[in-house]
Amino acid sequence: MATSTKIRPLSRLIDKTSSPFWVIGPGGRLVFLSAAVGTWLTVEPESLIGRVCFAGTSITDDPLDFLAASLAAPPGFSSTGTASLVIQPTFPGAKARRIAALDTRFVRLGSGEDAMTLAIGGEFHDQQRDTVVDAAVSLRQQLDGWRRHHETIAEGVAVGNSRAAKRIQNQIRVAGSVRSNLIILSPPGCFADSIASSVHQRAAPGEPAVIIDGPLMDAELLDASLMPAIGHLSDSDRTTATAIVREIDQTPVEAQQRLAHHLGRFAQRLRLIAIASPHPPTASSLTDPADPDTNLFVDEADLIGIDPQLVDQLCGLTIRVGPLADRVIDLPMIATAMLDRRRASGDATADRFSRAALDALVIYPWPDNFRELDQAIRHAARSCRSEVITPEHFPLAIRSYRPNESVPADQLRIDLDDSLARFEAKLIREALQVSDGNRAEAARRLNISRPRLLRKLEQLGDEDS
Amino acid sequence: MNAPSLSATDAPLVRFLVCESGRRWCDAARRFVGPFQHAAGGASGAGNNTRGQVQMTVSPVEHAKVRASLTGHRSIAILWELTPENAGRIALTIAQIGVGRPDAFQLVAIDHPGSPVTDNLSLRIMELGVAAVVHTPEHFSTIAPLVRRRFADS
Repeated sequence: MATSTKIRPLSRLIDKTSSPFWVIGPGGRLVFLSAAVGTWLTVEPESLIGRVCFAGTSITDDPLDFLAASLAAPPGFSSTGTASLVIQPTFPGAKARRIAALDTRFVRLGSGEDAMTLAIGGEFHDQQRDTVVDAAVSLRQQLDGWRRHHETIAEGVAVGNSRAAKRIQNQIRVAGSVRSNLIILSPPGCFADSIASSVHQRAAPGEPAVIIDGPLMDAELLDASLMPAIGHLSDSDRTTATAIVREIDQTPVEAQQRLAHHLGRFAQRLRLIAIASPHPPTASSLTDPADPDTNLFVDEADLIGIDPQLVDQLCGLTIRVGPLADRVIDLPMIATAMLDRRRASGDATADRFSRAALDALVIYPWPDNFRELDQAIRHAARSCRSEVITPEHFPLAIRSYRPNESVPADQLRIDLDDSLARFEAKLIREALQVSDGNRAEAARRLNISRPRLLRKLEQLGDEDS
Repeated sequence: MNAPSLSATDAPLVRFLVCESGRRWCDAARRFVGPFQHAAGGASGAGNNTRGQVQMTVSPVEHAKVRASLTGHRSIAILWELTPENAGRIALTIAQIGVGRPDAFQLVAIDHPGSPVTDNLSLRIMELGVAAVVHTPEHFSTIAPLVRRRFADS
């Protein structure tokens, strides 16, 4: 009884609306029609109650049956559970008349044999294609995916339990918690771009960022590249923006000075995230060559380095990324994290490495650092059809690599004069020993004159003393 | 009168012997301890600053020839691959070398860390004077500085 007392006010509310609303019962017969349906069809709603309402047509000649059948849901509705249809009711016979078409939404309520169908007529705009909105939605999806992609890559660089990994984790955490200028010191192939993007998104989510290739810039090009950010900053005194500059230590000095000018002009509103090689020198001005703090030229002709004004701006926060070869103990975890990322994106069926595969990764020197490892994982993930990646799935350079016994170049330095002198001294001493100290006999054994031997002994005496 | 041998530098020459069934640990030793061909540039692993002070020659050796290989070399390091199957024979040789050549620096590699058998093996073998036990090649990178410092001081 409680249900009936509540359904009546609901029914009255529905009748007050101008949108037609009807309900098709589990047996396919109309069980409810609102007053607006009667207005639309110009018939009494009660006259259609109980009539069969499926298949879109009637099995009898009764015009009201035709009318009721035209209110049926479209084909395929039983499987999709929701559908849209522009209903064009038919009213045949002597009283035939034109009835306006009505855009209708059908929704299934319940499941199986007890399911009912709710139909609502009216004007709906959600399925109209707006190309601008579609493009914005698509761009938003791509941007979110790009951010997630870079964030996971940046996290991949910080994976591990070694001291180096913990240092990077802490540095990224601190850099991501405060919006401040930042310099990332990284060798090539360490995903410094991704770290910069990740830190930027954490520290200032939603803030626009401009990415600049430093070595390609001059002052004018820098202005042109920064134009979107400068325009954004000029709109209001409260807007902020970030410039991510790659290879700042390879950026021409005039461009660096221009960048320093923009940083000073917009104060804290323009943030700089700079990426440089691990030990960037600073390039000072030629006017102050005696200052030891600024007299660290890389190349005076090109003035390549980091401008002291930018150094002052970037001195607050630093992230140091080491080469992958220094993270050998973390390599299995890093490789597994990269494989998990590939697997999550649907690029891989394998979920683990064999021990031999991990050994191959550990032995390899990784000259191109994390980027090379990521490419190797991608190659292995694509070529592996089973659950376990083995060394055969890696690129040839990795699976065939064997450390050999060749001596590194820095250990091959030989001082020829020094080596020859020591060799000569050893021969002279041995000759003297065999000759029981007789210098003439020793000179004959060495096939040199006695005075020459005496001179060499004097030299040896001076060196020994 | 024999001509003296010329070495590339004055750094002490250390012979690093690897006794194993395959070449897994020999590769790891060459990568992290030996004169690694890609060491230049500081991108080869930890401890590059001390690597140049010691010259290591890593070479594989059969178990039966290990003791013969010790003669004529002042600085010797030996890495043994230990498995439950060969533990008895290897342990005996380690003990014999520990008595005959106490200056020899002995390391043991035991695979499958975490199992009760290997944990027990690690404990037992350390009693014989083994300097360190490594379980995976990546762990070798943390042990390598120990090896270099051991011979840099000698």
